[in-house]
Amino acid sequence: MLRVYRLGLTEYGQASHFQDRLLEARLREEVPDTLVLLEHPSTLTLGREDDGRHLLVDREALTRRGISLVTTDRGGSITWHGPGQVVGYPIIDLKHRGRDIQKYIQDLEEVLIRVLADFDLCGGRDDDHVGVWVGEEKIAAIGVRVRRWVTKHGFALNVNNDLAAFSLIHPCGIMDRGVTSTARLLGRHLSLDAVCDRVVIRFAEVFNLTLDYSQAGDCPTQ
Amino acid sequence: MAREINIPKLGMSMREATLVEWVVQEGALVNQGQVILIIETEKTKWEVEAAAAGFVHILIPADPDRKEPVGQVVGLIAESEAELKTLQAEGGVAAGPAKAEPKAAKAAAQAAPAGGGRAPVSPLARRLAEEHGIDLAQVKGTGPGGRIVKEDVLEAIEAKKAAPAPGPAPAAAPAPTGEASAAETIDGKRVQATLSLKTGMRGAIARHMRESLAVSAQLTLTGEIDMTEVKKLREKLLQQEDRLGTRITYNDIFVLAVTRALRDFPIVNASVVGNEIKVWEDIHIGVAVALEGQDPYSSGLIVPVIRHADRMSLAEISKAAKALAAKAREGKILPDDVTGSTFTLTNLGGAGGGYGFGTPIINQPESAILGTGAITDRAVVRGGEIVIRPIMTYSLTFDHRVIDGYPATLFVARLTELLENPLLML
Repeated sequence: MLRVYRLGLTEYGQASHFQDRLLEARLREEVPDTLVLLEHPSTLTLGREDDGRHLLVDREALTRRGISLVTTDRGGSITWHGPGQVVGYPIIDLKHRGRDIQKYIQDLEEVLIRVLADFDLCGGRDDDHVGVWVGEEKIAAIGVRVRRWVTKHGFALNVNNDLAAFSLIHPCGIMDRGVTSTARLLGRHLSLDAVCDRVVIRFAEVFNLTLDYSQAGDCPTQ
Repeated sequence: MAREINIPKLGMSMREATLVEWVVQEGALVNQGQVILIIETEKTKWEVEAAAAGFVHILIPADPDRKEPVGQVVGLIAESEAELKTLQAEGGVAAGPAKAEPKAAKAAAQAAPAGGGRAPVSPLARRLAEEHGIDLAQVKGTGPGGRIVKEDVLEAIEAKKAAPAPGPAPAAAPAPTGEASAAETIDGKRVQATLSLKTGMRGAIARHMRESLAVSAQLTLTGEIDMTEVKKLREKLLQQEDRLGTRITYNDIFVLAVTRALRDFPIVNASVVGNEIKVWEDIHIGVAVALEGQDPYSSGLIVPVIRHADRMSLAEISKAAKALAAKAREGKILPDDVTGSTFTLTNLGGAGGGYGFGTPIINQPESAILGTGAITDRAVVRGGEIVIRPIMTYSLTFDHRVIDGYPATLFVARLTELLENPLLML
């Protein structure tokens, strides 16, 4: 069973705490596998302490632009989140899925590839880099944390978001490839709700879960 | 006895991970289950928890640019402060900050090995030197206070590469000990190959065997079983191979017999946990599988587990055993496949040594292990006459803390009875 929370614009830290509570509840088997979908205000997140080296401007410049800088406990290095980007945080118990992290990552990639196909875009994988690519450009980033085989964090799909902030960093520490979005590839904006709908359906499909419609999706913000 | 902290295998194809961060300091006292280390693989951070309470001794510092292979021992958990001090004296990261400092400015001088007068060495440099067979005494340190740092060792490695070709490559993939020069000689004996006893499969087996003998009171009961009826049964079952969907082996029949005997004598299906003996409800049979190495001197051993073997039919046991053995040989075994056994079977007779006995070592934390020998035709006495029968030897090693001699004898007597009268297993 998959429970889905669709939150709106949510601060990164708040979302992380929400995930922690869901994760602990999942460990106690009080909740089923859960997918949280949301957007973040303009935020740069660092996966590693030395990710500062991938920052191409200084921190004052970020503040002036209204971009937060946060250190996170997910895998991967530096990336940017912002409005117009669909962020998904699956809280999934991998104990029931063969305890295979690589397979989980591949399944996340598969979900996003299918979602892109729903919008006539051809996404793919890269042998050397986790994530989803269209041609040589990255359209979705992935970074996960696992505690006792339950996942948190997940993926970020560039839909309508501004890509300018990516020029302030080497995204994910990769220095020789660009980023793209559905807006750039299609030449028009997509409805984020429509994209989220497809994410939910494809996620349930790839992970072989039935959707639980019993809970309304409100982030118990505190 | 110190517990290892290894890079866990978190999936079928996982080969390696990065040590992101030691969450505790060197020497910290931790509880069982406490997160002590973060590793990363495939853009995923994983929290490594302490398998036991104790004092953490770090062997390999965090380094985001280095990948460690699955199974690599990256630290130890000492049972006591005394043991911790012993481990610290042996090397690894000494008291100091948990994260790697490539400049080695903060690494304490305690990291130096026994043998005075040596320049201090950064933990990263020490590890690099070990892996590449560099003698630190020959390396000039350019760090603060003449400290030998990573760059110094890297230079020494380059210099060595310019020298004559190295000797044979070490066996077993994870962390080979380094190249021996073609003419390595110790006490007048030339070295053909060098294998690591600290890392990889050899290291794991070495530790497991030594610990097993240290922790339990092991002794071995040996005997013979008349396999006439089993042989007949097996021949009939081979004819039914298509119907059964599998080719029944002697080992499959042994697993079946053992599960029946364990049900009758559950004390043999038990483990020492802390200060108690846990008599298990479930019967999970480990079946030892020998793995061939890439070269004549490296072989390995793995013990995949047939879970709930007592609930299985002979055909099901056979299929499960074959599937596990195939997985083992293809290197596709998952951690779940090799843990949780309550009793182990090892076939000592398959390699063609003829009639004989052994003293197999218990697969901790179990309390007994049954080694079956070759089946050979022997002259035996039946009804006052000498006849020839197919005889199999067995060797049951058991832990006397848990099982006394009498129950052990009753167990093997039951096993013998079942194998000599297979219809009793129905």
